[in-house]
Amino acid sequence: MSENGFKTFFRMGLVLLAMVLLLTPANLCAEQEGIDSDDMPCNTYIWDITGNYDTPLFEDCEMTMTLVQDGKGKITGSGDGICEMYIDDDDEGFWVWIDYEFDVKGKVTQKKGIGVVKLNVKIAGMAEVDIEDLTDLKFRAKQRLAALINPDTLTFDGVVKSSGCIQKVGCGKEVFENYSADLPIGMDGSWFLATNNIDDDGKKIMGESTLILANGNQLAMTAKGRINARKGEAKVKFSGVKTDPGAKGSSIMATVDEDENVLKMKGKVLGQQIGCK
Amino acid sequence: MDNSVKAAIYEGLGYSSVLRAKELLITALHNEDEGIVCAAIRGLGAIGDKDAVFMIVDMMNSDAVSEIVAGEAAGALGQIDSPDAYIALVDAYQSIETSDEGIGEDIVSALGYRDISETGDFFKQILNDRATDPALRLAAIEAVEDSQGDAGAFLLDYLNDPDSDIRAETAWGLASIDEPGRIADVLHLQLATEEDAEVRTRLYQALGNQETIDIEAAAGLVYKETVLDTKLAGYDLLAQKLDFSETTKPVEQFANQVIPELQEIALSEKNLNYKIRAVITLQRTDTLASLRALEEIAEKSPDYRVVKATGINR
Repeated sequence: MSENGFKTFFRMGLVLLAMVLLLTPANLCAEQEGIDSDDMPCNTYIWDITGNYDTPLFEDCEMTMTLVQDGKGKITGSGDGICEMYIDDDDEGFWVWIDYEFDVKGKVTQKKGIGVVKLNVKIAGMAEVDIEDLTDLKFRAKQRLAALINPDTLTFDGVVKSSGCIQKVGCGKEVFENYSADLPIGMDGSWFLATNNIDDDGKKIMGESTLILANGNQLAMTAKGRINARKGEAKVKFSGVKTDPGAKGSSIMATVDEDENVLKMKGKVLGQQIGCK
Repeated sequence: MDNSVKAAIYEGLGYSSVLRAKELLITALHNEDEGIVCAAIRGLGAIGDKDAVFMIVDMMNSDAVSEIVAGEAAGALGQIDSPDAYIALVDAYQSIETSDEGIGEDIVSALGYRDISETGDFFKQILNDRATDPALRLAAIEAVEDSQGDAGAFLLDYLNDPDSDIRAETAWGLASIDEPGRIADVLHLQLATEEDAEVRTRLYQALGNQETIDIEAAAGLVYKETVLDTKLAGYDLLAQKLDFSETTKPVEQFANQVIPELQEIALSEKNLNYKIRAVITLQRTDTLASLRALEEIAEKSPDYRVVKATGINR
């Protein structure tokens, strides 16, 4: 195999790839060359759960929540909600109405192909109960969500453990076993690593590339690698540029053959391990 | 029967009162399907007695199983409330070789399920040895964040670590744990000298997890920030902590400079995450000016996700 064969490694436009790209969200990858998650030898998802949610974390409540995931997979967010619930006390039951706001911190991680979402929610609000003289009561609660991302249903499914207190009324706990929230529209874990600006001298590979996520977000990466003509392989390390906080800390190491097939891949992107051995 | 169904049944056996459950699960450890083996490990973890611990330890230390199975075994041991499981994890960590870094991270993460009073010395040993692989040190801080007990006090020791990734993760831990303690003064001091923008971002987020902060001092630092990511974290802190009913200098500066800047970010920034962070901060601000900015964003933004985040119906 000639070394020159590699010169076209990242420059050649692949017809098949182009067809796939035309179908990708936001068509951002159109006419770009690179590595597509659909062409990987195993499932490699990258999740960015940034978006809006309305599946309530409490049963019997309504809620809107906005989450933002950063370059390390950390989640911040906020939201508000209302609850109307009947509390069945030993003696007699009563209605409770709660108006609340909340703050979210959490993270998305991935190991061995399993994406995990963990959220800690701190809640503060006001409550009313249908018992005389009990209005404007402080409500404080916290919730912990632990869920797995399901790439087939595009949901994250798990358990929410809640505990909270209503002033002058009492405290309680709730375990919501079957929580399931849809991922934001368009987020299916797919990605595309554009390699248009990568070049080689027959031995070394270098340049810039862009990792494009399913929600259209782009991570600026640098590429450095080495061609092994004897083996018919090239190893390239893509590293998130340090000046882009969304990309800093992300890296992908890929081994590619002369037919542009990814043989092996390993890396960490947005705090999530990805890889195919 | 589909293997995933079988796996669910095996895992469920661990929670059941079936007499032969343990025996069936031990047999399933030799199944050809990795998913069933992992489910059997989780089932045995739910049983959690001496026999179960013994079998899971055996799987974790076996050379014949894959990294996935060994990692599952480590995770299961982390959740079993027994000294034997803890000792097995620590011993396994001590005996790993450099080529087994994957299982090393799995063990460290597994120990994050336990109380920090039990695991603190182990994590300190990893963190205080600067020769340890940086990824393992980072995994140790992440595990501490997940731990039960007083993780805040433990994390404080690593706010000055020479590795900026460790400092950033530590500050994030202090931002995200339930009870970080009253450490606003420490965080302010750290912010005043911290040069790494990412660590500063995390420190602002950690200040947001404090009941009371020196808002004038915080505002003085935030208004000097130049990196967008860090600025947004600072603005979000101010939106949470400033009293907008007062007419102080930081409040005026927020109204005159920050609200228009956040509106511009929400409308013009390329990155979705920055746009939505700007919207969240405007919502937290909860003033007439911020409401107007949100209305304008809802009207002008071409991105439905940003519009939805404003909470304003078109």
